[in-house]
Amino acid sequence: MIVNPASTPLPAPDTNTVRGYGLEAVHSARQAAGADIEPGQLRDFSRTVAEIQWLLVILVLLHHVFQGSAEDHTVAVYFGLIIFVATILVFQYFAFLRGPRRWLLAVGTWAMILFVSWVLYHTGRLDSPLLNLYLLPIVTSALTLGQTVTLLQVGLIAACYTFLGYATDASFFTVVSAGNLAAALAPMLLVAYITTMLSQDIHHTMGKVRELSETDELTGVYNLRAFNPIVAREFALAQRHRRILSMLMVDSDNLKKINDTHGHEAGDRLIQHVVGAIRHELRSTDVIARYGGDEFLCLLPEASSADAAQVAERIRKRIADAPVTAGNATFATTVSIGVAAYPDHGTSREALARNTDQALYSSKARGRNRVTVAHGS
Amino acid sequence: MRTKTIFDPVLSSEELRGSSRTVAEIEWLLLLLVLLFQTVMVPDQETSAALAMSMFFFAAFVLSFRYANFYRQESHWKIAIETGVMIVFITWVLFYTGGAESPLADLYLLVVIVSALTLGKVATLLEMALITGCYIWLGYPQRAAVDPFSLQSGTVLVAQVAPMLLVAYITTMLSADIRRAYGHMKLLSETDELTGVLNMRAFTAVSDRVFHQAARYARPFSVLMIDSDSLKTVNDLLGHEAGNRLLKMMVQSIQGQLRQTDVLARYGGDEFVVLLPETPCNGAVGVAERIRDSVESAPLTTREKKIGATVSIGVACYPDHGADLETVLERADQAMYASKSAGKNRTTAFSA
Repeated sequence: MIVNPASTPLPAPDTNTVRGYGLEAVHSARQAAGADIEPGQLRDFSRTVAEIQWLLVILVLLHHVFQGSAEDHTVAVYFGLIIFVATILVFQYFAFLRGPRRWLLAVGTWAMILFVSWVLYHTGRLDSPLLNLYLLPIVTSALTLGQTVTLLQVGLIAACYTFLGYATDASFFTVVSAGNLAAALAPMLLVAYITTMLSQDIHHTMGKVRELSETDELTGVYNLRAFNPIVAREFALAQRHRRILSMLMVDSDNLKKINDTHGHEAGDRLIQHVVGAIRHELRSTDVIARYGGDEFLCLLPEASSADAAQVAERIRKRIADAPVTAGNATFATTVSIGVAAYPDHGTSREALARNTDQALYSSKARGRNRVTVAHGS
Repeated sequence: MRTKTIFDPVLSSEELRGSSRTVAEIEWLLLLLVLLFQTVMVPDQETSAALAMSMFFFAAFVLSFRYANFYRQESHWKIAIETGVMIVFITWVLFYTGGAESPLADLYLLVVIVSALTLGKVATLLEMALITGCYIWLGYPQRAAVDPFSLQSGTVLVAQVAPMLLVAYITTMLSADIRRAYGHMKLLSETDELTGVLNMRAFTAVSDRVFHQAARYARPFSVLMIDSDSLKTVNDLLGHEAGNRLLKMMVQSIQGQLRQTDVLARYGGDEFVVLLPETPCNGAVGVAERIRDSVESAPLTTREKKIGATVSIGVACYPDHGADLETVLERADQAMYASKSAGKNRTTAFSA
């Protein structure tokens, strides 16, 4: 049966099912690197958090210089300052050596909370003018660490409040003192809440832009920018666990001619037809990317070259069997496919890509509309 | 233009939509908090009436403002006005609940954070100035008794404003980090990964703007379609790596002949489109000839041999060859095919 693609339009790119594995791979790679923050952004954050920590030190010092306090409190405040500064230095040094990490940021904000609590304990507890310093770690964590960590921070701050407000007599366990505590905590909660909310908005739009930057606009499949990291990761996995993987390179045989005779719209239609056929034959764990004008790369994890050749043959047949309709023109189209597998045809990414390319070229040289498996290594 | 100096230009109206909804939520939250204060603290009758009135006006403002702007594009001004009204509302409430000493004074933090995260640093600075002004006004009755210009009342004011300043400062700083990453990603989403020129998504947006300007001020513009004559051969003979190098060299040659204001984008596999604003047809043909020449004079060298690379170019102009952008692009494409069928490596201007 010949399927007329004009009457049965190609399914819209479904990010969850068709590219399921691809997205998952990207997401887990990202989680390893630190939720949804980019490495560059993490570096910026790390620097800004360091600045905020120094700001905290300066504010406490300023307060101390201007307000002064009893001698034993002075000693305690300076002790706290020294410990905190030492902590900042150690963590900054660590971040400098090993690259910024999310958990380093988290520990940095915990240290800020503990330091502020220590200073508050020695400068008038809940009546201290420094109480608002808690806002610094809250805003920092809401903007850099996400909602769960912020919730934990607010929990810790609430505990610190209770500790600071604790009085030994029975008056502590009354509704009034609980109410006062809640009232004192309210601004922190409020700030944490709205900062988290706004930062979620920003992250949401960022996610959308990221998706745009990683997909090909015509077909909705990955572009090379997204594909390369996925390949690198899959390749490393295959090497570590001694698994196999295969790569296909699919190239249209007559896109150029169709473009020239029927115009670009027909050419676009042809490309969409090819992508539809490739998608139909791939498993949900395979990844496709548009490589150039009319070439597509597919990565088939845990598929031998024989399996991959079968898939390639099915793709070839599917495309050759169904003509493309664009406007009032109907034309046939074919693809040439090259197949190579790790580790048989290359033990590095570059070698594998080169051999896939070569296999594709011999498909072309032998008369197009065929599948060629790379030979030897 | 002035908008750009006050507000951070990175977030466009589309991206503000999410924040706008959150701002609405924050406004209701503000109302709820004041209401809660009134219920729990039970102020005297006069204060109660004043608070009720302020809440009524604020709610009316929120409803009518959001209703009026329902179908409008989001803009920075909208959020700026909303935060301004929030400041006025909070100041009114504070005035009746204890001035600068009121337990509700922390509500200013809401405004500060919203503006630091959505409006950028200059707008936040302006809002901070407004809030400081409100503080001075609110604290005036107490200070009048002492000496409004004394060092002591100054210190009190600084202590009151300090937390706001602090929050404004660090929120702005962190949001600048976020925006930098965002801007970087946006740039990636608009460029072709191989050659670094604009992709079609970005070209569509830019060319629409150029077209509308040209149409409004009756200025000409031209479009070049540039197609490689040799990419397919190079790909087939030397592999895709060489083909990619060819594309990059082509882009370099093209870019060398363009002005700053010209727009170059990758149109398809081996085709590029150039938009030349304010350039009439004869000028565009000149540019196209120079591009063709420059590509021809830079052959692709591999280890074994030199391969000559050439391009075929089609030129079409507004308003001579079409009254809208699609037509002009289509005609340039047709002219490019005319170059191809006339033997490649040449420039053809569209002729009906």
